[in-house]
This record gives sequence, structure tokens and C-alpha cells, in this order.
Amino acid sequence: MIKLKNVDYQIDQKVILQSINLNIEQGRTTVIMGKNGSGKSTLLKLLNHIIQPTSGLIQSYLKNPIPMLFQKPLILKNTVSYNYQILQKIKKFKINTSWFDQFKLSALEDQKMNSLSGGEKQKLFLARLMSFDQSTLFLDEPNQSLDLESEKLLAKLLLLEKKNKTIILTLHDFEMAKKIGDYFIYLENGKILLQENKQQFFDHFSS
Amino acid sequence: MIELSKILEAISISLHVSFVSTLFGFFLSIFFGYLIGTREFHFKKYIISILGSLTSIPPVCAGLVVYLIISRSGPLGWMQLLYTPSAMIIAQFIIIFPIMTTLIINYIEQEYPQLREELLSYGASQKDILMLMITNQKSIYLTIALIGFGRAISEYGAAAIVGGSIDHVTRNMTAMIALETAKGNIMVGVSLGAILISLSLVISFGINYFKKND
Repeated sequence: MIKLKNVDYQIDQKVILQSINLNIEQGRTTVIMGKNGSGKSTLLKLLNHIIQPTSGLIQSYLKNPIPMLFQKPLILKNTVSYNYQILQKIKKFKINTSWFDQFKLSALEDQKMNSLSGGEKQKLFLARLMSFDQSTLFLDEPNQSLDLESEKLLAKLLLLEKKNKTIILTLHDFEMAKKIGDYFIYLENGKILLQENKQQFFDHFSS
Repeated sequence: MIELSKILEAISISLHVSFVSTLFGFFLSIFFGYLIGTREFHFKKYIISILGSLTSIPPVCAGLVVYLIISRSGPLGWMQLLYTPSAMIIAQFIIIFPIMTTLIINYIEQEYPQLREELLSYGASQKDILMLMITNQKSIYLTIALIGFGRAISEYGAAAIVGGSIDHVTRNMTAMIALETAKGNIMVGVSLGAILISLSLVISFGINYFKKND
């Protein structure tokens, strides 16, 4: 479980997150939602130890940061396959290369990164992350820039992965959130407005 | 008429002095730029402000400072550097170091926070992050090196003060242009100026070609 108790996060006196109390259970898919600038990405980074809270306590089964999907992931000037492999070379992670094909990237293997569309890049970033075979996935807006077909593929893969993984992700898309989420957090201006299971959460929005 | 061998000698002195000062400036500015750009400390903004002010230091003033330090009665007078190419290298280094360091700090402050977050999540060390930052944006570092080199090879005041424009030793292109123009050899001055500009252009085109293929 990841537990947050009275967590605040500030940058240069600006409050990004305030009085966050949260329990995230292992084995379920938690979706963090909210408007732009509500603090979703910051919360995700706090949960993954990428940043430390200004005050409050975080207790987690994860002791160190793990690879996650960022909103603006790292792009290295080179080919698609180089970008797929380079981060894995840093710490010599054992990787599952099948994700490269699952995201239909084989045809783009030798292309330069600057020739790729936003959606193709996003598929590469997703494949790069998935290839680590981690039991916990942190995904910051994984469906951004994806076309309908790729979004369907992503939803299908996440539905498969959620069976044996803890997934924590931020989303804007209610439809996709409903499809894959078990537990929902709604942020507004750095505060948690709602944290509920699927039924309660969507009842709240349909009323 | 000026001999061809003298012109070639001046070109060689210019290239040698500017290349060495740029090389020192480049590596030290990467080191200090990275040190300052990646850390938060108490006097950071003052250091950046001072470096920013020094980017427009008049070359003559830089030359004067170096002169006072290395002249016979100066603190480093015992090293007998005055009127040597080494003195010119030091003076040019003082001019280009703040420029290159400021540019590197600007680049690092833009790129580092995001890169750091992602690379740390992959278990990368600070050394890994630095190496990736350099190899991923070679063209930016090359452009910074080119800016430094361009400033070094084209300056006259500092090198003239500490180099003394001694024939066969410290008379570089800019010193020769000034000397020949003062002697009334306007056409020689113009020709030398054209050679100097051509040299800068060739280097600039070479680096642009590399950037395109990067």
C-alpha cells in the first residue's frame, strides 16, 4: 500500500498540493483525474519518490523511484530502436522486447525520432516503459496524442496488465478511465475533491 | 608588399591561440555550467548575474587585468608569460569563459529538471545524466564552442596588450590587420580581414553541416 498523510508540496512558495491524505492499494488500478494544473502529475511523481513532499508523510511498498511514463518523456536524437534501448542500457535492466512489436513499432525501427508523429512517439514511450515488466506502473496521461485505434490497443493492454499489476495513472478521458479504473481520485487546485471507487465516482458525475 | 609567409604565420598564431583558449573555455564552462546549472545554492543568482555582466567585458579591460597579473611586478610575473602566446590564450579565455558558461547554464537549466526526473527513475547516476545531456545535444555544445571561438579569433584589444604584436611570436591576424592599416597598407588590411572572415565562415559552415547530419 502507498499511504500519504497530510502531504503538502510547494515550489518557490507556490502550493501545488495541499493536505493530501490517500491510501493506494496494491493490485488495483487507481486513476487520478482533474483539470490542467490541478496537481495530477506532481502527485504521481510524489507517489513514485521522484520528488519529495514539502511536509507530510509517505509510506510506500516502493523504496526507490521506478521507471514511469512522464507527460513529456525523454527523446534522444537518434533512431526509434536507439530510443527504445538506450534507457535500458543505463542500468542494464532485463527487458521484454515483445512490446516493441505489440505497439507496432517494428516498421519504424530505423526512423529518426524527429520524423515521428506525436502518437508514434507516445507508442514508443509506452513500449519502452512496458518492456521493463514492472509490477507497478505509473503512467502520466498515457493516451495523449494517440489515435482511436492506438487508444483502443492501449486500453486492451492495460485491461490485460491490470490483472497482475498495480497501475496508477492520470487521465483526462472519462470513458477510458471508466473502462480501466478501479479507484478514482479527483483533484482540484491541489486538493483532493473526491476519492472513491468506480460506482460512487461515476454516480457523482452523472448526477 | 607583405610576404605570404608572414600572413600564414599570423593565421597560424590566430588559429593556435584561439583554438587553445576555446578548448580550455569549453571544458571549464561545461564543468562550471553543469555545477551551477544543476544545483540550487545560496549565491547562485548572484554568480549567474556576475557571469552575465562579464559576457560583455571589453576585451581591452580583460587584457589589462591579465597584463597587471602577469607583468614583471604582478603576482604571476615570475612565470614570464607577458608577450607570449600563452598570455594571449589567458586573455582570450577570460573573454570567452563567461559567454560559454552563461550559455551552458541557460541550456542546462531548461533541460536538466525534466531529464533528471526521468533518468533518476531509470536509476541513472549524475554522470549518466551529464553524458546523455552532452551526447543528445552535441549541436548545442558545438554552437557554444563556435561562439567562443568566433569571439576569441576576432578580438584584438586583449591579445594586443598582453601579446604585444611581436613579429613571428604573437602577431596574430587582428594585430596584423591593425598594423598594416596603421601603416597605410589599406588593401593589405582589407585582404587580411577577408581571410579572417573566410576562416570564421569555413568553421561555421563545417559545424552547420555537422548539425544538419546530427
